[in-house]
Amino acid sequence: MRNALLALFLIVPLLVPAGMIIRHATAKGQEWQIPVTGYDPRDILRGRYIRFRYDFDANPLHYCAGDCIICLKGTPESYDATVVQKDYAGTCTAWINDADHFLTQPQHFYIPEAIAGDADILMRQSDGDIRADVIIRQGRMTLKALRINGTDIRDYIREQTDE
Amino acid sequence: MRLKSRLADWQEHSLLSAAQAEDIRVFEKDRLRRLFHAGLKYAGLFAILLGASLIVAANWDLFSVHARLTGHVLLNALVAALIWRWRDNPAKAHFREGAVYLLSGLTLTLLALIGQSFQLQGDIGGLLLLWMILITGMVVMAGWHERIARLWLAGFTVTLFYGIANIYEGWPPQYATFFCLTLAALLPLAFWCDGHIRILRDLNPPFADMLVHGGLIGAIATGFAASFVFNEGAAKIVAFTGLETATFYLYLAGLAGVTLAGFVTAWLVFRRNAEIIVPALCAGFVFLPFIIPVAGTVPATAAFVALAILLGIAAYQGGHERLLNFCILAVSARFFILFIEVFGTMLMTGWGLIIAGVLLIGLIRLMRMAHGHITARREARHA
Repeated sequence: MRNALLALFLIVPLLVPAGMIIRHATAKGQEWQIPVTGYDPRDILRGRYIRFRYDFDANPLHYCAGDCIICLKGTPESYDATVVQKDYAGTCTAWINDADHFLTQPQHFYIPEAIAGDADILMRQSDGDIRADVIIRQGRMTLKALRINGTDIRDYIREQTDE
Repeated sequence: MRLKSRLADWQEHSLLSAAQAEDIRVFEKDRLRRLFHAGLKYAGLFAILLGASLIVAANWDLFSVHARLTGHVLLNALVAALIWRWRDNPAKAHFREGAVYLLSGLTLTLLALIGQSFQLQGDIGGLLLLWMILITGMVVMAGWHERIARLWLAGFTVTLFYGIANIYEGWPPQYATFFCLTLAALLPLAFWCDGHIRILRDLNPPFADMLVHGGLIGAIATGFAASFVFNEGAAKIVAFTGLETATFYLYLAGLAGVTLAGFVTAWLVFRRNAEIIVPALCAGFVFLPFIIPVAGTVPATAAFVALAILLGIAAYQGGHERLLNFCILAVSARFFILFIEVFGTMLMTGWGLIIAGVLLIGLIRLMRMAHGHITARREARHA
């Protein structure tokens, strides 16, 4: 009995993270590009991430009460975003749960320590178009990359450094 | 006083022979040497682990997502396999403890790495909660040493504070307030009860002991912390929840009833263990600022001192000397804090410093007198 319990409690801390890895690594869905704004690279970036907000250009939250979603209608290249109650999810091309979190809360994008300093300068000086590549599936949104003028920010910095 | 002079003093008063003093000197010297070597060894090990962590943290992007995650999972699996292999080998007990410690840390770093690699937007509170859930069973089953149990308790405490911070940020104020009041009143009791459950005591006695002690320490800390609510007054908390006063007190009465039922049940289940008086008193003091809704530094001090005196009496009756000493020290410290709170600005002047110094010396003298008096009474009672 004791050995069975020990085996169980040794396997669970391996299985749960492994399950998380498989779930996120195999996540499929349509990829959207969302503009980002209010990014704050001044000091947080020195750690390991860029802080930003999504700019959905949607109607304000107070137009919706209760369990609200961000409803996207159109194509990943051209869409309209509105905040509606979750009951209307069926009418959307794609929708994102927890509208409050994604409209008002800062998001994090982790980057390698080695390019943090360059990313800091770049984002402070850049007036280019910064967008987030996200995968949206059944209300869940997964952040894949940040792009500056269409190029992954990590590659963009590496290219600039090489030049 | 150093060992050498202390031994000489004892020899001078014929408490120790020259041979015994020499034996103690040799024993202490040997122990010091072993401690020094062990300290150096652990410092070296810590430096290696820290260095490896820093290299991984600074260069994780050099590897692909799948390579770094697979590598980490394999490392965790290897350590888990070692724990399994050393499970019934007393000669490898220290290695097993080290491996449990290592796997606990590696589980946390793996979860953090998953968060970074897949750009997950969860918070640290959620990460720590999942980590605690994953490692607790392993710590109970394989960490048969009080050091591991203490580390688990430290991890739990940090997780708890992060969890409370998240709850206050994300939950409506009335839910957050009542959830935290429930934790304050019942969590120490839950720890204390868990520590007395026979199955857990059979599985891992040091862990069960740590739960009992953790429950008692948590109760005392919560009880004393609750007395500081008097500083601002409970009315401020009622206003924060946004509930009508009558509604708030209706819910509070319900919580008090549940708490009372919990303590009575624990009292009956655990064969009327007298130690339960400590968390019971402290839980009572969690509700006190709401029962006596006054505000100010004097009621706050009075509540603190009253709890210290009641706990001191319980400790005296139960023969818990350390708790008794702590209560005496707590009363003295609280009086000094009261002086700072009331006459804080006076400390800017020379007279203020002189009065503070005199007060401090007086309090220490009073504390020693109280301790001496209580010890003498106890010895007389035993005689």
